[in-house]
Amino acid sequence: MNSLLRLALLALILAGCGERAGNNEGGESLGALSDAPGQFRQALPGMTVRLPEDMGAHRQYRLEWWYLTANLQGAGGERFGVQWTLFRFGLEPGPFENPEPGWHRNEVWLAHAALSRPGDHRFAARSARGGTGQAGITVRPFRAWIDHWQLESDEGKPWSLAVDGGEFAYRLQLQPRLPPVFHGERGFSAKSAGGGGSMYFSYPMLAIDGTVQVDGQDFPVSGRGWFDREWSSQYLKPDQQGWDWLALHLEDGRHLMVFRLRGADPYFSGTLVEADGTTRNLSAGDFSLQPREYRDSRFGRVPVAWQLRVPAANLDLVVRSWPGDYWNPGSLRYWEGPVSVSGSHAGEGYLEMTGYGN
Amino acid sequence: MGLGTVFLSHYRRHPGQLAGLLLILACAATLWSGVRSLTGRAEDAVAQSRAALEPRLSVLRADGHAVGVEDFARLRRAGLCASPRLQVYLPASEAPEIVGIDPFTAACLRQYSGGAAVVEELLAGPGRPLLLGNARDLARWRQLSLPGSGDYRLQPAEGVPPGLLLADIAVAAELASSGRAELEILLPAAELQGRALPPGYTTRVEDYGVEPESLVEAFLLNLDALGALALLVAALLVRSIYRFALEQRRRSLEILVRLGVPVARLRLVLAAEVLLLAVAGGTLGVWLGGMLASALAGGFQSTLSGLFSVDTLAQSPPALETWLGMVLILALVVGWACIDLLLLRRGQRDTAPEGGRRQLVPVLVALVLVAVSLLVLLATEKLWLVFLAASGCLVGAGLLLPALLDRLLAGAERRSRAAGKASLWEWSCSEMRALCRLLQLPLVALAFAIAASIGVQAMVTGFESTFGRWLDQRLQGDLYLDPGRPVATATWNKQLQRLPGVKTVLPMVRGRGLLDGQAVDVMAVDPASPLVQDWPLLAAVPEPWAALAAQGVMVNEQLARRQSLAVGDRVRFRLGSDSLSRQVIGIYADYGRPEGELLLPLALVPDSLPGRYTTYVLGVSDTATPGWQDWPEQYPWLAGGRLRDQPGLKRAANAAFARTFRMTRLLNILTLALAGTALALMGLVIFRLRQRSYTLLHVYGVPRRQLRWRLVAHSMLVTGLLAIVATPLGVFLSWVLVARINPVAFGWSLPLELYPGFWLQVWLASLLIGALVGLLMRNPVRLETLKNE
Amino acid sequence: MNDILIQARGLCVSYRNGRERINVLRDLSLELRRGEAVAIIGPSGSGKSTLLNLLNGLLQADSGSLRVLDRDAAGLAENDWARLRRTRIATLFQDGNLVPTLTVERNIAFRAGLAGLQRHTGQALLERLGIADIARRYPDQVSGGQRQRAALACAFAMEPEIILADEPTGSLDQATARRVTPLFFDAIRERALGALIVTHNTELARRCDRVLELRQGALEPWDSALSS
Repeated sequence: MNSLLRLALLALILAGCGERAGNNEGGESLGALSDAPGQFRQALPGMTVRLPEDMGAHRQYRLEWWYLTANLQGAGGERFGVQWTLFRFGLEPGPFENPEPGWHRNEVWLAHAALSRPGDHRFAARSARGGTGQAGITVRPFRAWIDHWQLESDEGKPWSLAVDGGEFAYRLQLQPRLPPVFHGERGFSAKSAGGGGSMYFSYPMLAIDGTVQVDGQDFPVSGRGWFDREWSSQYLKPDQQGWDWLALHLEDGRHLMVFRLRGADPYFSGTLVEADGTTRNLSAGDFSLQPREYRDSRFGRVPVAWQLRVPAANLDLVVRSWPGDYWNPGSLRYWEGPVSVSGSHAGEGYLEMTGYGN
Repeated sequence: MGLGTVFLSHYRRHPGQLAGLLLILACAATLWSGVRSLTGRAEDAVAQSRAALEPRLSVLRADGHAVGVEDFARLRRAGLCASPRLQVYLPASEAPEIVGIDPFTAACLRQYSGGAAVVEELLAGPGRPLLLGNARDLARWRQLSLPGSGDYRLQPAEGVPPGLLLADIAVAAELASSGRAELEILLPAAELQGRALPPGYTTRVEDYGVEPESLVEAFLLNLDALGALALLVAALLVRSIYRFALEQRRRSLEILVRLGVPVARLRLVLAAEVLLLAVAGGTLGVWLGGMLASALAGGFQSTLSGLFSVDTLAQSPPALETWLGMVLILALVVGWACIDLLLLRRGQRDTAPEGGRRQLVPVLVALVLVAVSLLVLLATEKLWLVFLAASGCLVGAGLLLPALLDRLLAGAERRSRAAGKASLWEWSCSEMRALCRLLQLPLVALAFAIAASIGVQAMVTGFESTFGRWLDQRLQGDLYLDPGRPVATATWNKQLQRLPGVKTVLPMVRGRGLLDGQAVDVMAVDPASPLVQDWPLLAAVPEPWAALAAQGVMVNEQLARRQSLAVGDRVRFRLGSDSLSRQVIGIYADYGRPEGELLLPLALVPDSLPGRYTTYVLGVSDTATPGWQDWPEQYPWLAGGRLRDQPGLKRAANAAFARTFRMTRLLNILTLALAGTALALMGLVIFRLRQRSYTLLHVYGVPRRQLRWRLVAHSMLVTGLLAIVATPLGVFLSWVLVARINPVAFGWSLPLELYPGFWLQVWLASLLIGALVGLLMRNPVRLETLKNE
Repeated sequence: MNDILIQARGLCVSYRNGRERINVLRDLSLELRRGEAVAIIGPSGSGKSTLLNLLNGLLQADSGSLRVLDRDAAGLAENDWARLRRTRIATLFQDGNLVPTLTVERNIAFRAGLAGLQRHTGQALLERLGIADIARRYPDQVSGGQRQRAALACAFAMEPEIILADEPTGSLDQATARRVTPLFFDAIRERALGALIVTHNTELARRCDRVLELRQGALEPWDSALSS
């Protein structure tokens, strides 16, 4: 069973090793997210998040990521969406005996970088085995890197992110403006009514400055970002097909994260962050998230406009994806694209959808 | 009852015509897209072959220590696309070498990019350690019974060279403790063009290898040229059938005009019909062509022990651009075909041979075209002019061919007349002449197909033997030793000769020099060595090697062409700070490299030669005993050197190119088959026209059966004659490809060889096509044809 | 040498059109003697061409008896008919069918050659018919009347015993027809041929020895008073 699991995980990895379109093993790869933890440790209610340690790697867990999404504007009003994600897949549960660099087969690193514009989506990926130093994480100072892509922060200085994807590149300075937010129960974010879930916290507001380069042109940009940090050994229950996730920055200074897990019983959860940084957990009864419009994309029909209501916060929002397709390719294909918010409040954000197009 | 209905009614009445029309269009489209598809696959296969032999760099530490994992990480973090390779040598005798690669970064090396099967296998199974190799090496591994080796999963895989087992680098690292391991960090040579190495590192060419860039480019260029020819064939086929079909509707169209339908509207509807037919036939054909090509290509899978994956030939649908291109071309050609119809002009008269003067003018024009093109072809050194002139010759030949056929048949007709009483053979000859006139365009198309077939076959066979010879030349000897650093040539020479089993040692010193201000490569060898005595030379004085040692220099073909050198000329050149003047005593072929090169005796080359680097070719008594792999370990002075088994590399390179050559042969068959099919289809239609003539003879009292076999004989004679007449055209094409396009484009020529055996096959094929066409027309007699309309 | 060239009794020919069976010739009887010219008149589509094709072996009758040149048609194989058509029965068509890929004089030589004649009277024929000047032209390069005359020359060059003519003046204008007709009959009389001429040219018909009308599939003597 373990080897089957690893097989599926590696199919996920192949998502990063260049565009291998056509081979739709989405169903199988989602299995990677929903297989039982086995020898790995599983996130449970009662666990808490400790910073800054938990910015580092959790080798006892199977899968984790460092996930940045940002909405940026250029000096001339150009709109950009930026995504950068570093994934770590554990093949063996850690910690590993040999801290020395060497050729090991115990974990795999994968990074996805994307640059989106209305109607245009560029993507690049890198992968590496763990244990060589080609990719890795240190906490003090904070460095997350794979090849020459690097996210780092020194004490007292803003974070900086440098990515070069061939056709596009960006160098950004990110300054967290609000303290980190722990989702769910002090960081344990349940993903279904029957248990299971992940440890999940975010920096909901990063003020961003930097340059974006695409097709040979440089654009000075600024904007807002959302940074997720999540780890688990079993994200989904076997009956769950995928999720829809939104992270929004509203014009009144509030930020909102909601997600819906699709399965036999859809599971809803979210977090509302006030302008001063206080948070409120949202459960299924506190908000409603409904797809409103669908679009025929390259890989099937996907919902691209959503109605999000949080009555207690007087929010009645229409979240609309930018025109175009924002599929990140690979055997586990997922949609990661910028959105605009309208309705009772205006804003911007990101939409992520997994498990469609199978 | 609109205009459309009238048009439709015509096809309803003659559904056979519509079917035939679509079929011919589909045939032409099939030909074109099949050729494009095969050319595309050949290009892919060539790219893969290239990858197998790409020059790679090995990264070294400036401080001389061995590279390690940290160096790999440092290079990757600097943004370089580097990939490690861990070679593990086990102490057991005849143990296969374990090569560990990192599947996550292996895509950097072209050898493993593009989803090479071996990489996917390794990626898919980190559970039990996986070893990939051929059956023999896997069996040997099992016999070794290393501790813990029971856990390993052994899997036969294609694409792994013999003597090696491929594994994930972590797996190889685990095995390293049982033997000796060497880590290399490899970069494609092209990487350093964009980025610099971080400080503390240098590179060394890991594999001088063979650089078939030019050879490959040349091959592809020729392939494209032949693709264009296939297009021409397709265009001709379409024009002929469409024109003919439309002629039959001329009357009904004229009636429509007389009835008051505005001519402009008629043209519009005709144009729309043209487009519709082009789209329908074209789409069908493009799809068919793709399927046909993949069926042909797929049928020859997996006989190679080459270095690339068979999956690259997996079926892929024809590209959008091929489809668009085809539709556009078809629409254009068909439009051109029916322009006279659109203008509602009267077409050609019936089948009577035209009077002398009218026929003379196009023949003269064609002759002039051919003459001028030939002159340009011989004289020019510009590639585009070569192509233009070759096209001119082809077009001229195409114009002349029908006239030539007509002349030949007319001569036969006269001879049969002179034989005494008028015989049926006179009628037969006149009938064949009529056939040639009616089938002019498809016959010319068939002629081009035959010529292309002969040309391609000659080119491919020429390339194959050239490549084989060139490989032999470049990879002579048994072992190739790259010391890994500049060494003292003479000292090493002596030491190498003392190695066990070494019979001969040939040092090859390379460097750069200046000839009349132009940079040239310099290669120096020992003229007395037996390993050079068999080098083939294009031109040389008698006893060239002795002359080389004494006072001569040899130049490669590229340099000779560029500087217009010949044997006997004196040249002045600089080696480092030395200035020398020597006589050219030989010219040697140097396929696949654009640079000019001077060949000198070793003694002449100074130690300070710029870029001086020595490698050795060793002749050993027996390469089968693998003892030589351990020499770098056994002999400390050899440490850091690389030994390579020449025949193995030769085999791999040959195999890699064999597929490329196979693809082009398929192109051949496809062109010929489709041209023949189209001819058959057209022939069927045409023979219907000729029924009147045969029926008349039947009325005159020639029995039906005799008329039947005469018809078959006519058909066979026409196609057979055509094939014979087209053969010189094919030889011309091959000459253009190997003796004009190549030298002008790349500086080196290939020998032109004739293969009469193949010609015989082509002639037979033509006769068969003729027989088929004749036999399809079952009954040449139809009394209704004698009724007047 | 029998005087009777063609003897037909009770010939029936029919063909199928869809589900119908159409009778073309019904119980047709005919006799042709040496030296006589018989005209057959009838409306178009009445089966005149069919009759001619019966008599030279291109078609077979469903029933009835036919004797041609003293041979029973039932006993003639295809090769025998072919030989007859080559050497003894000449067929003349409305548009003077000549082999279009041979010149006029080669056409004549060809016909003679087919008949096995070593020397032929081609040149004399051409001059007699007044078309010696177009001898080297191809059939589509000459006028209709010239073509018909050339066809005549071809027919006579093979020295037949029977001539079957299907509308020999059908595609000629009146003036040309008037010129060609006497040549035709002169040649017939000279060589004592039997000629069966299908026509609706009444002038031509009147010059024949007998005129028959093909009515409802059978031949009856033509009553000139009844038709226009």
